Amino acid sequence: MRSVLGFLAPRRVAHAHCDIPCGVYDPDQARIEAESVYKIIEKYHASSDEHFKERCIVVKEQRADLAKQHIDILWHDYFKPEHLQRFPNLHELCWQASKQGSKVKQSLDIAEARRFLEAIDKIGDIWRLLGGPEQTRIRKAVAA
Amino acid sequence: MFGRVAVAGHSMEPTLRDGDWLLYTTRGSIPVGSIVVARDPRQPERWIVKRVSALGHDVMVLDGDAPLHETGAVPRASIVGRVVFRYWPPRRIGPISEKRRNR
Repeated sequence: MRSVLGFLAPRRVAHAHCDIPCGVYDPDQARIEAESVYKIIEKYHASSDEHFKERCIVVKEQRADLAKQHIDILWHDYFKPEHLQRFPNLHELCWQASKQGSKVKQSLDIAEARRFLEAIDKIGDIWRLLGGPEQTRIRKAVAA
Repeated sequence: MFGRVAVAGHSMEPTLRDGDWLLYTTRGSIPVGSIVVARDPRQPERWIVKRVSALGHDVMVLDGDAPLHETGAVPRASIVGRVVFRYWPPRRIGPISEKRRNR
């Protein structure tokens, strides 16, 4: 079976990653997922339905993972060396936000989810100060 | 004539998912709405997969299906081929259509 899969597997990767020529980056992508995590924890604590609570934990894991991926994309692909000169704590902020994402996966403490939102907002503030919205969210007029 | 690629990334969700295996063809026309494999103009050894949202004279305008993933243009010469089929994972095997889902 393994050799059949090996034969079937493509040799090449095609990136559907939001990067060149797309160049769209927005911390709101991470924030929306982190807001989901926050709400899920709220709903978890408000429920007495064990099955519902189990599902909450499953989805919390998925959403926190997505938030971490979006943070990683900003970190690796949006931020550039010149940004670091203006904001020397950029790596630290991205690293801490990513770590906080791991924390919320491991925890059902709403305070950790709040900290996750705040960590993402710190990155978002820098993105806005760097002109993120103007640079990366301009809509092109495209002929139908 | 045909080639295979594995999808990496999320900008084409929900149509394509990270880890999907795709078959593409290098033959035939590429209408608007097709999903194509193309060489990244800034890094030609890196391939990308996106949907064609418009055709220019010498360029194709490419788009991600996921929200917030907007357009960028590549020269026609960068296009490798049109995606026609997904052959992995098993429960999502099937042809890739030209219409965009969820829009």
